[in-house]
Amino acid sequence: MSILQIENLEYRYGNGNKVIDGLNIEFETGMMIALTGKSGAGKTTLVSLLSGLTCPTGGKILYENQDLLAMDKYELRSKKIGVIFQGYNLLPRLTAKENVILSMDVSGKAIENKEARAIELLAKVHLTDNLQKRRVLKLSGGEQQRVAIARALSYDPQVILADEPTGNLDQANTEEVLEIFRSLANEGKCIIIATHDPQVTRFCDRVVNLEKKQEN
Amino acid sequence: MYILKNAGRNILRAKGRSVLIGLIVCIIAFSSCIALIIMESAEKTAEDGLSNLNITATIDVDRQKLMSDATENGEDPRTAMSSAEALTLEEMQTYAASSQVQNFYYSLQSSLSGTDSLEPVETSDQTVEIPNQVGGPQGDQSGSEQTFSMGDFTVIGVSDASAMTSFTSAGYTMAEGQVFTFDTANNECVISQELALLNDISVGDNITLTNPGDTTETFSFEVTGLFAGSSESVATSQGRGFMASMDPSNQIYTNYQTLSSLIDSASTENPLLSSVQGTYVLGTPDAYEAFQADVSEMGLSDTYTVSSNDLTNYENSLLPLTNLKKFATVLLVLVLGIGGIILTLFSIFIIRERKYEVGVLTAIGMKKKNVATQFLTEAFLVAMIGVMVGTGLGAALSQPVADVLMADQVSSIQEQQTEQISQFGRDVGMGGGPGSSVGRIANVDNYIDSLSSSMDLSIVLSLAGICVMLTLLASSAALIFVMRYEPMRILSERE
Repeated sequence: MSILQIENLEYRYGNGNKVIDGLNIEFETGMMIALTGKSGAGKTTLVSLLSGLTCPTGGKILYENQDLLAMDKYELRSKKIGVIFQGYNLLPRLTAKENVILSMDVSGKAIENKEARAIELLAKVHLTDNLQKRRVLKLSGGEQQRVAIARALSYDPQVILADEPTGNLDQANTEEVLEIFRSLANEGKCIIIATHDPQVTRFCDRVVNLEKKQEN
Repeated sequence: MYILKNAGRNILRAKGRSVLIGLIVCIIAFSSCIALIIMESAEKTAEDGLSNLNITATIDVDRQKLMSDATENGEDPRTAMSSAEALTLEEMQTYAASSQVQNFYYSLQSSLSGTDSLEPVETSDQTVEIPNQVGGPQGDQSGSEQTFSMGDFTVIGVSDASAMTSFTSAGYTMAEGQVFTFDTANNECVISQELALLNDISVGDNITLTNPGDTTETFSFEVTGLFAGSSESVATSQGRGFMASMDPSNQIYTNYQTLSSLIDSASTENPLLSSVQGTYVLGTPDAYEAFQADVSEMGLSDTYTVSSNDLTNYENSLLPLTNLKKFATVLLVLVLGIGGIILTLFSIFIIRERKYEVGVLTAIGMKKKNVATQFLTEAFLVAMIGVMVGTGLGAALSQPVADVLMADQVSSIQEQQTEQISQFGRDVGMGGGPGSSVGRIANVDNYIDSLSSSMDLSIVLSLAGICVMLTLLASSAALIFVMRYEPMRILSERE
């Protein structure tokens, strides 16, 4: 079932350079879809557009057949779409666990025992109890990336948008994270991953090359 | 709920920032607290003093009005002034019928000379001749060319004991004998102990005074008592050494009837200089205002004015208090102004520093208004703690601070007064225009020199309101500044 649709999407930077031009993609639930392409192909930009952080300069993005432009973007990001940023974007003063709990608080969803869920998710991405209680400022890049993944999953969104989610992870951790994504896809979520890692693309159901504007 | 939780956590996690904001608010609250307490206490002290005041008033010729009317009409102001007459006793008594008047008393004053057997305490080697003055001398005022002679003694004839105001205000008491009776022209008088000692006079003796214009015309009095003052009041007596008749030791008190009949009996060639003064006891400031309206309705010409020395003296006695209140007001305005600016700049700086946090929170879907609420809650909580600490310190230290400031004010004014006395030999109103402190410090010895500062709920609420509003306004200004940015822009700037 289609959950996100891109119709003739176009995005220009402030200087007029077109980074995405006439892109049409449909994203279905229960699938892992990889967005590939060289640096500058527009992978991160597309993640921003799909999460409502950036507005397209042309074309349409539909979420469950509703134009994203007409939707409450904050509602979208806090409830429906979980974003894993390339730069993690965690709050440095908070601990790993607090970052995850805050995300659940912001979503406003009725989640029972948020702390237990945060601990469970962080354990799932192999963050020890000790690391969970550490301020993220004192965590390594890979550890922060795993906190960001746990945070995106915390409020059980329908779509996970991940920008290079395994960039700072070793092979074992990458596989673990991909397994988590796979199980989420199997639960009916739509997992969209911007990546240039062949290990990730091999794991995905569909791979969309943004340069060629077509599926491989 | 999570907003409050986050706010509390952020306050504790960013201790340096919280302490700094709290300290600024604490200083603002402390200074404002002291300023507000001083302002309110000064107001209350002034009101209490006013409500305890027993106001008396007199009706005099309005010289300023006469002058300005004459100038407007192109007349000679001197002619206008000399043609104006003070109210007669009968006219004064008419206005005493006002329902506002609790009591009316009057006195007559004249100047007489001594004899070889009655020397003044400090002699004046000259007999001063003064022209007929507006609102001054009574008696024969047949023309402006008329002159009067001043003697060495001032004789005061009073209607009753309450009219002996100069006697009581100087702190005199009867040292020997008793005060004369007031009912009839019995030629009884009281004199100062000093004068009695100098001239070897005892209670029961007769003294003889003369007409300063004709020393062959004599007036005899029986001394029924001697009065004495404290050494301080005698030493600081106004006019001492300047003109003998102004020396309180040369004042002779008798009853009104005695002096009045004595003036009537004086020769028409050399009339005695005299003036009558009626005093209306009104009580409250409201009664004073109502009396002003009453006398106007009763037909008092606008060339006369109702005035109250009590009120003027009371207002003058408030000078240190008024200065302190002004100081407190200026302090409050400065503290709020400068404190507000510092707080706003600091808030802008802090929120710019927290721009990334705003970006992250909005990127994970927290609405900007919720981010703003969280930041404002943080500012509010820190401000409340600062207000509580500052208010507590202010309340505890307001009394000593007020005491020090008040003492400074009083000593500063007294220094000015001392300087003035050393320059001019006595207290003088130096003019300097209305409201001039130089003019106002004259003749005021008893300034209000203490302030009982106390804190009440209205001050606490005002303080809390002021500081919280200041903090929220400062934070709001900062938030508006940063809320212009979109989350993606903030995050990409960071990356």
